[in-house]
Amino acid sequence: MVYFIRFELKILLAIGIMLGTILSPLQQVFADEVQIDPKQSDPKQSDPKQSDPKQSDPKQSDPKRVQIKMGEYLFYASGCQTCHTADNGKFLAGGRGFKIKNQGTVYASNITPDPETGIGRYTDDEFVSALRDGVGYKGRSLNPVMPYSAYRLMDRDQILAIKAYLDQQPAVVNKVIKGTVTVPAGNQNNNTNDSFEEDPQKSAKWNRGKFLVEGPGHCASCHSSTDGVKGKTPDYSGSIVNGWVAYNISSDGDTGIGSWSDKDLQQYLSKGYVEGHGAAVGPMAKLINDGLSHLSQEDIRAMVVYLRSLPPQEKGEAPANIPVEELQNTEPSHSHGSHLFAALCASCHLDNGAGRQGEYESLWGSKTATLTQGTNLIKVILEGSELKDSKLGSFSMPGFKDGYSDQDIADIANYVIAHFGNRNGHVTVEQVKKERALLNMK
Amino acid sequence: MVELNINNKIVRLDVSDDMPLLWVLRDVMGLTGTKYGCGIGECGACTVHLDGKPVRSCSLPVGSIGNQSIITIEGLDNDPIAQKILDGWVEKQPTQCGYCQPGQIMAAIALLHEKEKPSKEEINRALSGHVCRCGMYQRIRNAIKVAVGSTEDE
Repeated sequence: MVYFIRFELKILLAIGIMLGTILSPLQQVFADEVQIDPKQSDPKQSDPKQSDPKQSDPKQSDPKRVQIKMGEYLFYASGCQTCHTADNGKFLAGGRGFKIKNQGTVYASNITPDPETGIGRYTDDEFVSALRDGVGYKGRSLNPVMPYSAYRLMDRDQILAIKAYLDQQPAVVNKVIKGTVTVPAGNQNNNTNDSFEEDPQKSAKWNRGKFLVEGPGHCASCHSSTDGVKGKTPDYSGSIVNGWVAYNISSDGDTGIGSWSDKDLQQYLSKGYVEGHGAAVGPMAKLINDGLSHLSQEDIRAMVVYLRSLPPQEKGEAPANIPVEELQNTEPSHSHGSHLFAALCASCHLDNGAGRQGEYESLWGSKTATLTQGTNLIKVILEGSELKDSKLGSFSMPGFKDGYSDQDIADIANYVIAHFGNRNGHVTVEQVKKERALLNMK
Repeated sequence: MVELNINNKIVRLDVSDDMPLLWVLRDVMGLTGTKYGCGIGECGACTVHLDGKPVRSCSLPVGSIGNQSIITIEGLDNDPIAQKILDGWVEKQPTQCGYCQPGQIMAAIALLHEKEKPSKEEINRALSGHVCRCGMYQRIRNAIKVAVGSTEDE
C-alpha cells in the first residue's frame, strides 16, 4: 500500500496552484450551467440513471461531466468502495485490513482527494501507474492485493475518468495505519498486456463481458487461487480470501456455475440473491451492493456470457439442491440445533428454506447453507449480512454472536447443513470460537 | 404512490416503496392492532397475513407486496378460524401484558388454515418465532388446542 509523505509546504503550494488551475474551469462550467438551467443549479441533483447521453443537453456534452460519469460507472464496475471503505468508516477513506497468507496484513489506502492522507497529490501519471502497474505516488509499490494487473485492461482515459470521479468525492483526513507486509520495489505486474484487446472471433457481448470480468470486475482476485501467480492464467475455480470461501465460478456443472440458468446468474449478480442458489453474503454481498448492482443489465448479461465460456474446473464441494417441496415434508428433527433454528432462523427463512417474505431469504440450494465445512455459514450466522435494493431499501439479517454460545452456533450450522444439504456438517466449537475471536478483533 | 389491498379494501397511499408495511399500517392507516416489537423480524409481534401466510410487517417493504392480500388483526371479521381461536383464547386466557398477542394470534390462525389439527410439535414450530416476555407459551399452545377441539391438556 502507498503511504504519504509528511506535510511539505512547497508541494502544498504547488498543488494549490495546480488545483486552482483545474478548479477554475470547473467553476466556470458550473456557473455556465446556472445560466442555462437555473432550476438544476446543483450538479448532484440530476439523476445519473435518467440521463440520456444522446440528448443534446449542454450538461451532458460537457467533456468534464462526461468523463466524471464514465469514471463513476467504472468505479462501480471496479468495486473500489468494497475495499477502500472500512466497516463503519467514511466513504473511500480506507483502513480495511486484508490478511495475506504467511505475510501479514495490508490496509486499503485512503482514496479520497485529501492531499495529506488521501490521493490528492497524485499526478495523472502517478494515478495511472498505480492502477495499471502497481507503482504509485513517488514510485512506491502497491501490494498486489490491489488488483492492478486486472485494472491494466482499462486504458489511460478510463483510469483518468475514475480519478476525475474520485476527485469529486469529499476529502477525508484519515491516516491509514501501516501494514505489516513489505512490497518489493518496482513494477510487480505480471500482466504485460497493454489494455484490453478485443478478440475479433468472439461476439461483442463476449468481449465486453471479458473486459468487465477480467478488467475492472477483477473477479479472479477472489475466485481464482492462481490469480497473480506468474505464468498462470486464472482458472476461476474458487479460493479463500480473508477467511471467506470465494466459490468456484468456472462452468463446471456441479462445483461451478454450469447448472445455473442465465437468468438466475444475471439476477444473482445484480441483486445478490436468487431462489435455488440462496443469497450472497460477506464480501460478495458488499461487492454487489457497492458495485455490481449499479451496472446496466446489458453489462451484467455480457459478464454472464463471458463467465459461461470459462473452461470447467471440477474443484471444491458442490451445493446440495434439495427443493422446498421435499424439505417441507421432512420429519422435524429434535436436535438442539433444530430447535434453535426454529426459534432464531425460521421466523424469516422458514423451516423449508423458501423464505418467509422474499426470495432474498431463501436458503435451499445455496452453497453457503449446504457445504459441509460451513465456513461462510458460521460467519454469516455470527455477523449477519445485508443486501441493498435500489427501490425497496435494505434486506438485512442480524448477526447472532451475542447471547449464543459457540456450541449453539455450531449446532445451528450443523443442523442447517444436515437439513438443507442432507449431509453431515463438520462445524466444530473450536471453529466457531476462532471466528468469533476474529470478529471481536475487528 | 403505492396501491395495497388491506383488509379487503384497495387503498392508494402516498408512501415510498421502501417503507416497511408496519409503518404504513400503524402510522398511515391508523391500524394499531399490529405491534412494533424488535423491528428486525425476530420477535413476531408485527405479524400479519400476506395471501394467508404469516409475514413480519416490520421488515416487509410495501413496494414488494404488489396485489397480494394483506389481513391484519382488525380484518378477521369473516374468518371462521378466527372465531375458533377467539373461543380458545377466552377459555385458556393465555394473555398477560398482551403485547405479543396480535402476532401470536395471526400466526395461530395461519397455522390452522394450513393444518386442521396440528400436532404439539407443529404448533411449537409455527409459533417459535414469536417471543412472549410474560412466558405464556404453554397456555398459548393449550388455547390453540382448544380451538381445534382437542380436550387433551398439558
